[in-house]
Formats: sequence, structure tokens, C-alpha cells
Amino acid sequence: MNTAKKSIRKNWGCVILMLSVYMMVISPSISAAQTNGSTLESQVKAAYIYNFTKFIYWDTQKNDSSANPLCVAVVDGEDIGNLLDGVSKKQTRGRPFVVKKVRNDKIDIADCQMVFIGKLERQQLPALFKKLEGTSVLTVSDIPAFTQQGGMIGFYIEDDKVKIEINMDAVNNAGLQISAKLLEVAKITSKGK
Amino acid sequence: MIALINNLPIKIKMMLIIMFTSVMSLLLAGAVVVIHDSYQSKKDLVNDLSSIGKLIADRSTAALTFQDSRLARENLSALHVKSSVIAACIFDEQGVVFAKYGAYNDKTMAVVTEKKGKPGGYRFENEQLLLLEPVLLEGKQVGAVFICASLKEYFRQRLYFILLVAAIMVFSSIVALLFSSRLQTYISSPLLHLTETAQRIARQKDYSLRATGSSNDEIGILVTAFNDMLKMIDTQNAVLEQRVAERTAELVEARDRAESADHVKSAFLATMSHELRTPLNSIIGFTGLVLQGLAGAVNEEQKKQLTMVQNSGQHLLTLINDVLDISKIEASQIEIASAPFDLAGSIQKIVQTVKPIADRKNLPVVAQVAPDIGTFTGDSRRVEQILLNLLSNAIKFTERGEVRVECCHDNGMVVTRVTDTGSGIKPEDLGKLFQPFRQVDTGLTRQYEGTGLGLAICKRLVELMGGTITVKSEWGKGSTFEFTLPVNLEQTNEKHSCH
Repeated sequence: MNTAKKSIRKNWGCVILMLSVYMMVISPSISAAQTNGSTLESQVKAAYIYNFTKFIYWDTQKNDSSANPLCVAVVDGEDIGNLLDGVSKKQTRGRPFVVKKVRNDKIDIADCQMVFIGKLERQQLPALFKKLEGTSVLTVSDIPAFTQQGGMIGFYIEDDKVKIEINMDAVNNAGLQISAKLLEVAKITSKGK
Repeated sequence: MIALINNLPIKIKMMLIIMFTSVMSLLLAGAVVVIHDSYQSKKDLVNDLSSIGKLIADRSTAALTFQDSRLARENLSALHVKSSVIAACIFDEQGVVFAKYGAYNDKTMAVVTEKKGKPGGYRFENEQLLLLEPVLLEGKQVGAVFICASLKEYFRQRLYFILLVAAIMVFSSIVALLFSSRLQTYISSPLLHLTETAQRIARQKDYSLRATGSSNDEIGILVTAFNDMLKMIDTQNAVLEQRVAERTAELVEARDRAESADHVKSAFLATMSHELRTPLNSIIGFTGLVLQGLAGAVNEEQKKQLTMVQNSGQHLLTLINDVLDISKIEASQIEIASAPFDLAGSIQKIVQTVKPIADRKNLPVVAQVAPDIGTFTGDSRRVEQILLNLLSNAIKFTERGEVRVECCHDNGMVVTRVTDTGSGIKPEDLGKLFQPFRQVDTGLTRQYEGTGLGLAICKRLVELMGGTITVKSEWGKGSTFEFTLPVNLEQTNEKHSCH
């Protein structure tokens, strides 16, 4: 552990130096990225989805044993799904990270821990929520006012940045626990709002 | 330096020893404390800042992951509790500044960029502590927290601590000084008392004094030994004094015995000489009467033999007179008269007396008396006796040449000189010339008769009259006897008539 830390520190300098030069050339702004299409925004969202797994605790009593892979179902979000494929070889909290791209009609997400719902599926939300009722599946979407409709984590854009809002009621109902750190960076909403 | 310390009193020496020891220990302890504290507090400083850095790093994982720079800034603002923190920032995964705190600027950034490759995560530079803590999420680095803290407060505390330690050391030294000045008396005061006693004894020569001391240590032993020694000296002194008294008494007795024996001897000699003279005078007198033919005619042969009897009688009388004189002098029975008389006349008289003897040897006797001699106050009979003795001797030991008498004033003394051209005296004999019963060349030839008392009598007479007698002589060439007599006080006008 100690040596790992040291090596990180050691390499840190080189990384910083390299990346700082890189960042001086390429602007880090998302708005700038948006001119190239929606890819960067999607990249950020994909990264956020992956990182959520590190701040959210599923009930281990149910289907969250460490042997099982951590599964993310992507419903109608081609670009996000593809981006998540890129990180699917990774592990998160010692578990393999698996991405399942599904279509709404064939939706079977009972053994997944998280589901991302693309914008196109806006009309299907109530049916979807009904389906997920009583499970510990985290629902994530970039559909506007997703949390107001009963979703758990929603993306929104503010000051050209991708922000997060969390519906604590929905999260609590699903028996999920969210790290205070994640709550700190998120806007907290409730169903009734 | 060593000599300087050696000359110091024991009191100061002991205080110096105690002070040196305590100050050295204090210095050593102080140095160790300061060095240890310096090391420890530096470590604490780093640990402290590192802990805060770690805390901020941990709190900033979500902020970095979900790009909430506001939250990151809030996290950093917790650093305001540390007034020493000048600047801080959080870097994101790409090494870009994500959130800033304090006086963060590009210059600091450049320093960080340049320096943070150093393993260990921190370094001291330009009175600043630069610290870099990684932000880890699931063991993966997602950013870094950089904190730059001023060491001014640290240095101030170090200075304060060193001053505190120095103050404690000074205070402790003063306490040590007080204690040492009090405690050294336990050793020094008995020694000082001993020294003082020894000095008093040396000064007053009072060996009955004793040193006091109650301790049972080496000093106590020393005091006891000192007192024992004094006791011994005292006892021995008493013994010695007693012995000296005994010896003195014995010596006084012996001296008295010897003195009385001497007196008896001298008195006996004086009486005997006087008693001897009476029959001798009648022998000489009656021989003279017979020689003059008053008892009938004497033929030539009888006359010759009677003259020999008379001469022998005369000689015997001289001898007896000499013995009488020396005995009287030795017995301090002689009296020196003091009356004015004509010294020049006396000299003429004596020269006339010895002239017949000199004429027989064809020796001229020259008298050279300074005209200013005039009247001399003294014992004319004794002065004439000395002159007669010296002149008789001179004529006796001289075959050729002349005998000269000179008399003159010199520096308040009358100097009378008798010079002859006789046999002279060997240098080794000069010393015993004036000792009684000594005659130069005794026994060998017996060429010159005499008692050997003449010069001894002369010397004593001259000394009795306050003068000196000296002799200068060269073997085979002649001798000069010179005696001085002090001019009496009535004629103190300085005269110099000597040549």
C-alpha cells in the first residue's frame, strides 16, 4: 500500500507536467467541447455513471455480493452505452463493471444495479419505474426533470457543466445508500417537488 | 590558564568545578532538547499539514469526480484554521488547477510543477513547506492537494523555544551558583579554618592552639592528624626547652668554672711574677754591687762572669715582666693611664735607650718625627713599652742597613712606623706574629732570644688604647710595623703630616 502510494506520488509529477501542458493547449471547457458534437458531454456523463458506483452502496443482502459483476443497463442511449463499453473492462470496488445495452421492449434489468435511461424513453418512464418498484436498482437519466418524475439521479446542464440532482426519497425507497460526498456535489430534490 | 586556576582559592575552585559541571550538563541537555524538539516539531508540522491535506483530499474525491469546484474550494477553505497556510490548491486528474485557496499564483504553481516530482510528498523551501497529497478514489489517483505553508510561525516558535531553554539554563545556572556557593562551604570552611589555624600558629608560634572539626571525612582525619602533630610538636618543644635549660645550666656552670680557673691562673701568674721579681732584683742588685768592687776587688775573669750573671738576671727580669704584663692583660687587671706627654720626647728617649745595642752592630737608628706631633694624651709608659719592643725587635733582627722610626698625623690618628732592613717575615708566619708565646723560627736556630710575648703584648696594649697594629714584610728585605693611636678629643683639628 505504502509503496503504491509512493509510486503514485513519484509518477504524479510527470503526469501533472504532461497534462498541464496538454491542458494549456486544449481548453477544458465543456462548452468548447460541445462545438464538436455531444460526444464530450456524453463522455462526462459516462464517466459520472461509472463513478457513481464508487459512491453508492447497494444492499449486500440482496444481489450485491462482491463476486457478482456490477451491472449497468443502458436503455436507449447508444453513445453513452458505447462510451461505457470503453470502461467495462475496468473494475469498481473490486467487482467487474458490466454494461448491458437493452431496448425498452426487451427490458430485463432485474440483475442489474444501475439503469441509464436515454432521452428517447421519456414516455416509458412510469412503466419502467413500475417495473423497478421494490428493487434496489439505481435509476439515472438525462431526461429533464427526471427526479421530479420519480427518478433517482438526473443530469442537468448549468453554466456549461454537467450537474447532478438526486431524489433522496426515491433513493431511500430503493434501500440504497449514497455517500455524503456525492450528496455534497449534487442538488437534492424530492418526488413531490 | 592552569596557573591562574591553581592560584585561585579552594572556595572559588570548588564553585568553578560545580558550575562547570552543571553548566556543561545543562548545555548538553539543552542542546539535546532543542535538537530533538527541532526535529520533532518539524515532523509534527509536516504530519499536521499532511493530515489536513489528506482530509481535504478525501473530502474532495466527489468534488473532483463530479467536477464541483465550488465544493473543492469549500473544502480548501477549511485551511483557514491554519494561519500558516499561505496558499493551497487542488489539481484534477489532468494536473490542472481545479480549486484555489489563498495567495495562490502561477509562480507558486511553477514551483509546485517543478518540485513535486520529489518522493515523500513534501519539501522545505524558501522558509516554506510545500506539501502534495494525492486524492485517491478506489486506489486510483483522481487529483492532488497542494498546500504551501509559511514557516515563519514555526521559526518564531523555534526561537521562542530556544530562548525559553536558554532562560531555563540561565535560571538553573543561577540556582546552581547559589547552591554551589552554599554547599562548597561544607568542604571549604573546615579547610579554611585549618589554614587559618596553621597560619596563626606560624605567626604566633603558639603550638597550644588546636583546629576544630567535627566531620568524619578526609578533612576530619586531616584535622585530627594536624592536631596530633601539634600535640607532638608541643610535647617535643617542652622536652627540648627542658633539655636546653639543662644544657644551659651545665654550660653556665662550666663557663663559670673555666672563668674562675682562668682568673686563678692569671692571678697566680701575676703573683708569681711579682714574687719572682723580688729575689731576682736582689740578685741583679748585689751582683752590681760586687761588680763595682764594693765587696772587694774582683779580677777580670770574675768581672766577666759576674757580668754574665747580671745580663742573665736582666733577661730573666724582662721575661718575668712580660709574663706579668700578658697575665695582667688576660686577667683584665691592667690599667691604662691617660695623661698628656711629649710623644716626640718619648721617641727620642727610646731611640737613645736602644742606641748602644745598635751601635754595637753598627746600625744607624733614624727617628723622623713630624713637627706638629706635640703633646699626646695617653699612657706614656705603655707607648714607650710598645716603641721599645718594636725597636728592640727591629735591631735584633737586622744585621745591615738601618732602623727608622717615623711618627706623623693621619686622619685623626697618630701613626708610628718602625721600619727595618732585616730578615723579614715569611708570609705564612705573618698571621701568628701577634699570638702570645710565638716566636718566628722557633726552635730551629734559637738565634734570637726572647719570650715571644712582646708583639702579643704590643697588640693588646694598642687595642686597649683604641688603636690598631699592622705589619708589612718581605722575606729577606725587611719589615714595617705600624701602630696607630687615636688623637684625644681635645685635638680633633685634622692634621696630615704623613708622607
